[in-house]
Amino acid sequence: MDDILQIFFQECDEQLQELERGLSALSDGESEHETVNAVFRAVHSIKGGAASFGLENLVRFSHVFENSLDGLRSERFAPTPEVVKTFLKAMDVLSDLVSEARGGNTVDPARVAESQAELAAISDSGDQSAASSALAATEAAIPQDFTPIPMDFEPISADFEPVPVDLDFGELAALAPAALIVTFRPHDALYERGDDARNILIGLTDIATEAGGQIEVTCDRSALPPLADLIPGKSYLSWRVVLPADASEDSANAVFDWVSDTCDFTLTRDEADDTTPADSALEHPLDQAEPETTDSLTEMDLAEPHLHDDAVAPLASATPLVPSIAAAAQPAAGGVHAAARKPEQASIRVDLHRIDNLMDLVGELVIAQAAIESLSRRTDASGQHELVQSISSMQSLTRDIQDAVMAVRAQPVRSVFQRMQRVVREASSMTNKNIVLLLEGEDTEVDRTLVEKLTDPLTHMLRNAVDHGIESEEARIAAGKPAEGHIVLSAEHRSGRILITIKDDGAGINRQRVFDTAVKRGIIPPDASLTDEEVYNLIFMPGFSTAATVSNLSGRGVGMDVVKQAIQSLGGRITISSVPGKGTTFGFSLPLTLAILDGMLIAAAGSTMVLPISAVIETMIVNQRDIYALPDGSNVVSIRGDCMPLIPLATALKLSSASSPESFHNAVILVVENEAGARAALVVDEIRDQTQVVIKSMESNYRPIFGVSAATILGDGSVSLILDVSALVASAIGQIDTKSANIRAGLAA
Amino acid sequence: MTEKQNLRVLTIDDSRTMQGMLRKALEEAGYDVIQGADGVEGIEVLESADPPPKVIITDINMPRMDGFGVIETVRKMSQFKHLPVIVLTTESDPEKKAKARAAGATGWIIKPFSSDSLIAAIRRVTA
Amino acid sequence: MTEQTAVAEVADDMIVKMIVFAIGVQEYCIPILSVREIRGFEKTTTLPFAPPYVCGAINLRGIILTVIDLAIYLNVPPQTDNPRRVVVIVESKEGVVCGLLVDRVIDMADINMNDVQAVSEEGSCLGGLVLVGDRMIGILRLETVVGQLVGDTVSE
Repeated sequence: MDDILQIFFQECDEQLQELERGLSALSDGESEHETVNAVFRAVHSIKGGAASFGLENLVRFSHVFENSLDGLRSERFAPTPEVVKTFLKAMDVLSDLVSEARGGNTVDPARVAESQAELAAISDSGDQSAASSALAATEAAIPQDFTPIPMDFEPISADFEPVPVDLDFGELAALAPAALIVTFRPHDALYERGDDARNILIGLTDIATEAGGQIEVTCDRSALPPLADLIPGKSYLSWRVVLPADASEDSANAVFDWVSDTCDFTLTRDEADDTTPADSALEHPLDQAEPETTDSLTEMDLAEPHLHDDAVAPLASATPLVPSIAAAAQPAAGGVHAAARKPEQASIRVDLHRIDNLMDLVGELVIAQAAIESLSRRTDASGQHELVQSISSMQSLTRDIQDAVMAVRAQPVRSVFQRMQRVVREASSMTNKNIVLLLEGEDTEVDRTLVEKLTDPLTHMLRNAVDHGIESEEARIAAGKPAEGHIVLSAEHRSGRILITIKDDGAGINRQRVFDTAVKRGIIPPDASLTDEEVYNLIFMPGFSTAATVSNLSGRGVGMDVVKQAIQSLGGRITISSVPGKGTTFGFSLPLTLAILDGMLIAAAGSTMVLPISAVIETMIVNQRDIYALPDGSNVVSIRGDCMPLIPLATALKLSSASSPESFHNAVILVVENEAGARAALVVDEIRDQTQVVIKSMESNYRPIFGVSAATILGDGSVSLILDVSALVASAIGQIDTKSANIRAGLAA
Repeated sequence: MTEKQNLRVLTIDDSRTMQGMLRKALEEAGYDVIQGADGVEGIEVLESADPPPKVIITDINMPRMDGFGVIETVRKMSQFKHLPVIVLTTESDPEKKAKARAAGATGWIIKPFSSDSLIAAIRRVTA
Repeated sequence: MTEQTAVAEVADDMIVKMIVFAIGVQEYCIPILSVREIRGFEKTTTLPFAPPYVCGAINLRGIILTVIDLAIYLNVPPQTDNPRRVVVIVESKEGVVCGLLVDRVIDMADINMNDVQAVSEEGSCLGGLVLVGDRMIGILRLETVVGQLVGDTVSE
C-alpha cells in the first residue's frame, strides 16, 4: 500500500498545482467552465484519495472545500476577488494538510477551522433556497419508496416448469417455516444496462448462504414466445425465489436497490410454502432464450454452471455481495495515518510520445550498430568509406538520443513558479503590501534536477522583491503609481540556456545607498569607481543588507549572497538592471541541464581540460607587446583597449612553475567572463576541440579543488577536469570570496 | 475457480492513486486489469482491447469525458452495449446516482471502497 | 543454537581475512572486505593542488576516483619502473572509493586480531603490527588514509 500512498502524495502535488493554476486564472478574471471544473476536480481528487487512506484531517477539510467549490461550479455564487482569495487561502491550508499527512509539521487547527469557516460562509452566501430546492427536486425524482408491481405469477402453466437451482447443501425441509419469497421480473432496460437476472440470483444466493441456507429458484417462462418470434433484447422471463427464513428483507431489498427502476419485484413471507421443488434437471439456459445478444448467450452458457459450482465454495464463503456495496461508504480498513516513512521515491511523468521517440531512436541505433559491425569485417576501401559514414551517422543518432533523453527528463518550470504565488502572497501579507505576481512562460522546460534546485533561490528573490523591491502603498500612491505592486516572474529559452527574470515595478535600486552601505561594511573602498552594474552586484556580496530596518521577512540571517552561490553552483549567471522609480529586473541565466555541458577542450601542462563554452568570450593569439608585467609578478593583457588579468592556466593551478612574460608571446589565450561580467584571459597550450561532456562529480570521492568545478570522462576513457571559470577569474582580479580562498589555502598547503 | 482468472476489467479514473488501488485490489483477486486515465482514453482502451474487458469500472468526475459520457458512449457501441459498467465515485448525491442509472450504469460503488466490496460488485455483474 | 557454535563464532570474529601487499620491503595488509577489485596501474589525470601522494584521477566504469601512491604516502621511494605495481580499489566504511597504488600484491592471510600489537597512537595510518610466520605485517588503517583524501582532515 505504501507505494500507492506515494503515488497519492505525488498526485496531491499535481492537483495542488492544478488548483493553483485554476485559481490564478480565476483571479485573473477568467471564468471558463472548464477552469472551474478543473479546480473542483483537483480538490475532489485529493479528497477521494485521502478517504481511501483514512487521512481524516485531509478528508474533512477537502470536503468543506469541495462543497464550497461546488457552489462556484453550479454558479450559486461568482468568483469575486474575495471568493478567490478565500479559496487561495484554503488551498494553502490544504497544501499544508497534505504535508502534514506526509509526516510534516502539524497544521494549526485554528487555521484550519478559520479557513473552513470562511469556506462555509461562502457556500452559505450562495443562493441557499435555490440550492435546497434543487436538492428537493432531485429527491422527488428518485423513487425512494418503490412500490412493487405485483406480478401475475401463475405457478403451473402449460410450459412452466420449475427450475430449481439445486445448491446441494442444507435440508430443504428447513425452509418451510416463514420462508422469504422473492419474485422479480426484469424490464428490458435491465438488460440494456449490461445487467442480468442471474446477477440478482447470485445476490440472493449470497443472502441465503449468509442465512445458513440455500435458495430455491423457479423460472416462469410463460411469457416466452416461440423461438421464431423471439425478439433479442426483450425480457420474457420472471423468477420466484424462496429464501431461508433467516434471510432478512433488508438484505433482499438491497439486492434490488440499484435495479429498482428496471425490475419489478416483491418480497413476501410465506408460512406455508407449497412450492415443491421438482426433481427436474437444470434447464439449459439457451432453451429459455434469455433476452440477450447471441454473444451473451454463449457467455451465459458458461456462466450458468458456474453459479452451480460456485455456490459451494466462493459464494458460500463470500460476504454478502450487495449489502457490502451499500456499506462501502465506510473508510477502507486499516487507515493510514500521517505516514511517509520511506524516503520519497523520485519519479517523473513523461509524455508517451517522448518515450516512443526515444524507442525509435534506440531502434535506429541498434541497426546502425549492426551495420558498423558488418562493415568492420570488410577490408576493402569502399567498406572503409562506408564504415566512416556509418560511424558519423551513429554520432548524430547518439546526439539525437541524448536530446530525447533530456526531453524525457525535462519538466516545465510551472511547478516551482506556481509555488511562488504562495511565497508572494504570504510575504505581501506580512509586509502589508498589495502585490500581484504574474507568471510568464511557465511551460518552459528544463531538466528536473534544475527545477527542484530553483525553488530556494526564487523564493529568496521574490521575498526580496516584495520586501525591498516594491514600495509601501503610500509611497507608491505618492509617486503616482498604482497602489497595487506587480512582480513578473518569467522563463524563456535563450540560446541553449534558460533565462528566468524577476521584474518588479518598485522604486529601483538606490545606487548611492548601496554604495554607501558597501563602503560602511568595508566591502569596497570609499573611492572605488564602479559602474551601475558593479554597484548593483554588491548586494550579492556576503554580509550586505540595504534594509534600513531588518523586517521579519528578510531578517532571517540569509543574505542575497546565498542566492548568488546557489545560482552559480547551478552553472548560472545573475544579471541586474534597475531604473530609479520604475523597478528592478533580476535575470538568472541557467544551463538546461546539470548533467551535460558544452565544453571547449584545451590543453595545459600536458593535461586536457574542459572550459564551459558559456564562459568563453573569444579565443586569440596574444602578442607580446599587449602584455604588461606588474610589480607583484602578475601580468595584464590589453585586448582592444580592455585591460584584464592574464592567467597562465598551468601556473594558476600550480601544475607548473611561474612562467616569464616572454613565454606568453604568441600564446593561445581565451577571454573568459564570470557571472559578474569580470573578464580575464587564460593562457593555454592549445585548443583541441569543442564537445559536449557529461559532468561527473569529484567530491564524492575527493574534495573540492580550487579552480575545478567537476570532471568528465573523455572518449578515450581518461579523466578530464572541468574548470571553474568564475573562481579563476575571481582569484585573478583579487576578489576571491572567503570560501574559495580558504579552500585554496587548505589545498595548496 | 478459473472464473476470475483472465477476466479482464477496464478501470477508468483520472486519479492515479485510485487507479493504483484498483489495480492492486483487482490483480490480487486474479483479474486482468486495463486502465484509462479519463473517459476519452477509457473508450480508446476499450475499443482496442483484445480480449475486450468483461466489465468497466468508471469514475464520474474526470477531464475530457466524464463517467456519464463513458456510460452513454458504451451503451451506443453495438459490441459493448450490454457490457456491465460500474460507477465508482465519491459522490453520494442521489441526483448523480439517478443520472448514472438513467445513463445505463450497471452498478454503483462509493469511494473509498474495500477490496471485498469491489470484487463483490464485479462478481455480481459478471458471474 | 548450541553453545558450541556460539563459541566458534566469537573465535571467528577475531579472525579477519586480509589482503597482503608490499610497499618497498615492508608488507602491509587491509581487510579483504574493503577491496573492490585490483587493476593494473594506468595513466592518471593530474589534479591541481593535490598532495604529493595523490597520483591523480582515474575512471572506474564511469566513476571518478583518485589513486594514492602508498609508497610516497608511507615515505618509501616509489618503484616507478616496477611492472608489478597494481592499484587496489578500496571502499571505506563511509563509502569513499579510491585506489591504492602498491608495489605488488603478495597473498591473503587470516589475521587474528588478538595477535595485533599496537604501535602508534590513534589517527595514525598504521593500526598495528602482526607476525604471520616470520613475516612482520603492518595493518593499514584505511579510514585514516581515505579520510585525508576527502578533506575532512586537511592534509600536511
